[in-house]
Amino acid sequence: MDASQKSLCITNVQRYSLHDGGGIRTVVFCKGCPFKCPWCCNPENLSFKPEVSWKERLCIGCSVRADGRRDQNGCPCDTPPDQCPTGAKELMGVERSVQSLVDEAMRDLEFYEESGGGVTASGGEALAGAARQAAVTEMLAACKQRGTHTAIESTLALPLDDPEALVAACDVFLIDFKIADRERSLEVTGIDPDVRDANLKRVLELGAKVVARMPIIPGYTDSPENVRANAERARELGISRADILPFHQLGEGKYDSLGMDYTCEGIPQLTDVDVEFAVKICEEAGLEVVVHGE
Amino acid sequence: MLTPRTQAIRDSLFAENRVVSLERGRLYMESYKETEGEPVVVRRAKALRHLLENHEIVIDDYDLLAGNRTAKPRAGVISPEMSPYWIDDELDVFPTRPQDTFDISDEDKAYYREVLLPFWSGQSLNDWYQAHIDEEVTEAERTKVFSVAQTDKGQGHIICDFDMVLHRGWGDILREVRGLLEAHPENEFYQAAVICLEATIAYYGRYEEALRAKLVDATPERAAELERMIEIMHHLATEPARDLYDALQQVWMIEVVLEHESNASSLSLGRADQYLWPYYQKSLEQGETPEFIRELLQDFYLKTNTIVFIRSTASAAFFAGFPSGFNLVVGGVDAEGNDCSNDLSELLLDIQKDTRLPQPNLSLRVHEGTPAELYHEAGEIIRLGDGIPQCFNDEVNIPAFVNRGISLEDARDYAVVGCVELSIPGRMYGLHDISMFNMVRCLEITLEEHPEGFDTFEELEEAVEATIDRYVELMVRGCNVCDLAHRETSPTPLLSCLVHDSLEKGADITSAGARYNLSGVQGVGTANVADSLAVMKRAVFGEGEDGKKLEPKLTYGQLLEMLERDWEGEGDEIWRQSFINRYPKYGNDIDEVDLLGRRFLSHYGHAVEKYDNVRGGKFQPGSYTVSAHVPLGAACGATPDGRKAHEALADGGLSPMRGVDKHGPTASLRSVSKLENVLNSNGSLLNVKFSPSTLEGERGLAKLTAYLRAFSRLKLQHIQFNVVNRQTLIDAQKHPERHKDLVVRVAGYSAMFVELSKAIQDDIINRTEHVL
Repeated sequence: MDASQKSLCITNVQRYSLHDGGGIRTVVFCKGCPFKCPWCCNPENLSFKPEVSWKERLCIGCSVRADGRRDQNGCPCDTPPDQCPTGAKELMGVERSVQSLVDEAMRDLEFYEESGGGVTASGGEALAGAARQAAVTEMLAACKQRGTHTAIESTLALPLDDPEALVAACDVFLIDFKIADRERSLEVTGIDPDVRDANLKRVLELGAKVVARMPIIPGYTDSPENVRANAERARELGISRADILPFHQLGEGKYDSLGMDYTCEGIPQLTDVDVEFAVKICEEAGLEVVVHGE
Repeated sequence: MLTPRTQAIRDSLFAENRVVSLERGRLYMESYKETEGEPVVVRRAKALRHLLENHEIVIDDYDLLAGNRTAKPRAGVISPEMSPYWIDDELDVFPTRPQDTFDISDEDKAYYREVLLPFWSGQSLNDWYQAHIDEEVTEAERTKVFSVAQTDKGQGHIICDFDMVLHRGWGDILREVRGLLEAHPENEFYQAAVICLEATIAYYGRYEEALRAKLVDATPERAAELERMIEIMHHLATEPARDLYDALQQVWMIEVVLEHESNASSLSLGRADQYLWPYYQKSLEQGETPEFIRELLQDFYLKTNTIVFIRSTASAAFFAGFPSGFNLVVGGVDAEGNDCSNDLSELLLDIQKDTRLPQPNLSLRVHEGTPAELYHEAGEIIRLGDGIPQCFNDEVNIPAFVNRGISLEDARDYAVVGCVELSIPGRMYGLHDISMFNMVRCLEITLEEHPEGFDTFEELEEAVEATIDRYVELMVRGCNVCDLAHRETSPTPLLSCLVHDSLEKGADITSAGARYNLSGVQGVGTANVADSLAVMKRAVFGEGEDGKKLEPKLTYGQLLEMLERDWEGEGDEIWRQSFINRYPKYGNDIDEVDLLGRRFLSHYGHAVEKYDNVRGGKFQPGSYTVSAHVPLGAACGATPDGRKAHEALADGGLSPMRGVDKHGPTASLRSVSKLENVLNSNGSLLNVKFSPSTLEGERGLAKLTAYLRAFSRLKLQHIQFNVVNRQTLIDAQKHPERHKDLVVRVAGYSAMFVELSKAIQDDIINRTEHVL
């Protein structure tokens, strides 16, 4: 495929991100994920298809349907998202050329250089499918060529099409370590830790720098045993750093605006103190730990 | 941490309500009655002498530094010789007005109305101004496009040569001026200068006496302190400073006498880490302990909070919460362009951790070579949330001054007066705050004057520029009359002795004695003008990005009707929301709209710099609002950017409109970097608000300092931070009693949150907070 023709379906290019790979960063959120973590805080990035979100608090009810019918997300009108006056209705998922994403991300070059930051591909699953892998690789390679640090946030639990090119383009891999038990992981999230680990071995052999990212989710990943299993697995693979990510409820409103059910309602948010036990376990396993991520 | 002594001093500042002080008004009048017919510069000198000889001196039981402006701290000193009228109008509302309240007794009110008002009526600065201003300018001021400042109060906004007094002592300066007077006995400025200098030296003697009187019932410990203070006062009356204790006492006494002379805001402190440095080293060599040095510095900082300014209600809306302008600068480059920060630069920032008050208004100069340690220290202080220090960028501010014909060496020595105005210490009388110019009103007037509309967007742009040109000319005329009013009625001979080259020229600064003579006028409304025109360009003229043709959404007439009825018609709210949300907004790194901002602010700047002032200098543009975006917005009707009539304009000067900078703080810096910042040599202002949680820990701090270094590389002039939770501010508004100590950034200065009016509080609460 010609370089200029590659594109990505993205929901957001978020500048001034502070916990996604070091320094001040721009995160490119790719839409679509083959997995199903119940605690997902970016539900707009689950489906691979563009969808419409509707925020009730912004709606001024300027053109409600005569019959009072509402969409699944509660939206009362037929106004196309790009004509909604308040932005209550928003199209999630726009196909953007890799070139335009690189150009946008590079606008903060001075901030990356001064902070040791850069560009991070995230999602959804940033590596879902060969075409996306090729586009993400190309995007990061272009950023790197222009002097910027690059990162990927991923489960890495899917086939890698061209790991050599990926490793060459990406300075740091932020890889999920969620539910350590394979059966349970497959059941709850669909993620196969064995696939991940095989890929991890491969990219580590190729010289990749990897950080294990461990979300601490009450009822799912917060048992000391789970944390210990993840920490030990990471060490065995040769990973030396872990980010501990305490559960938060910031994604809740997004479920509402997309008309999706949220299964983590009522689960308490965790503070830094709540996750101290996990920090300790990881440190005991020999990992260097950062809460919230660098 | 404060020591028990400095804590006691801090507590005393807020122990009682502020009061109005008539002492100056009375003493000035007494002197003026005696000097009828004499040259005005001599009359002013004699009035200062009378003040210094007679005002009440107060020595308390714990302070290490002496020098008081008023018997009670934070009193409002009125200056009827500047304008007796606004005071008369507001006598009854001082205790209850929305901003900057003061108590006043019935007896004082009666004295004012019966004695001071009749005496000063007809012979104040304001009378001269009103008698000489032409009707066209007055008419233009009524349109609220601009208003001329300092027509009812001292000029201020200047930094004297502190080092001259520290280094030479008053005695040597007096000798020089006596010599000059001998050579030019007819020179009235020299006559006045000698009177002022003699009076200043004698004034130190009064403190010596007052301190001695305190010895009588002092504890042995306090007596030792008093003995030292007496010795220092005696020495400093004529001699150079020897160490840091001397130097701090001397700088404070200079401030006090200059305040007695001018009663003006912003006789700023300049580059204190430079001129205090040798004395700091000397004190360390003498074995003074770091603890004692810290206490002295705390004491000095607290002193700068004892002086506030009483302004008219209108002025207090523009400058809310006592920006007295004790601006103190650290860091930056030396005359050769090398970094000249030192240990004292860091220490002077660090004292803010102890005092946590709005003054001195600390400023950090940054440049390519600013050391990491200094950034780190500054980041720690910014993170406290007091909005201190604000940061200034040598990378653009020095070229900006060179562009004004200032020598590179002098430009490299720049410091800050008032809030964010750039000035050259000891060499510039820059009338830095002489007027604000409302570009949003210019847009509004242009639309009103052209009900028929325009064929193209370009024609509209040119018409707005023509309106700007027309009003700039009128503003300049007004400013020049104000400039002359100060020359004719209110020269400042003592201050002039400390501003080069007044002594060489034999002329007061108001008569062009200074080496550099600028007049600074601020262009306000960049964000609202850019956002409004971006809407009109697309929606009315059908011109998209890069010349793309679009379908116009509505007619010029329809838009004007909506503005006229303030979006109150059927369906208007839908249009308004769409203008707010569906059109590009300045501050998001979108060229289409950012470059509109650039075009108009540059046009304003180039219009301004064509004009000369009456001192042989030029007008120069700046862009800051202080708190004036609230009253300036009140003067404007609805605007096409979706702003409702009378709502505040965008804050700061260069900041994006509240709530629209959705792409985060890196994008807003980028937007501002597209402006022709080098043009704004009078100074500009950018507000950024961070959530405290983003700055936590060493990592948070590292990101803040990286952000600042990028700011420097992008060649922005100024940035200041508010780091307070929205929730805290809302709580403080509801329960002021729980947040008496909360210091927040207003604009170019910080203030006690609870001392601000509700409108300004709301404005600060609503500035976009960047959280992640």
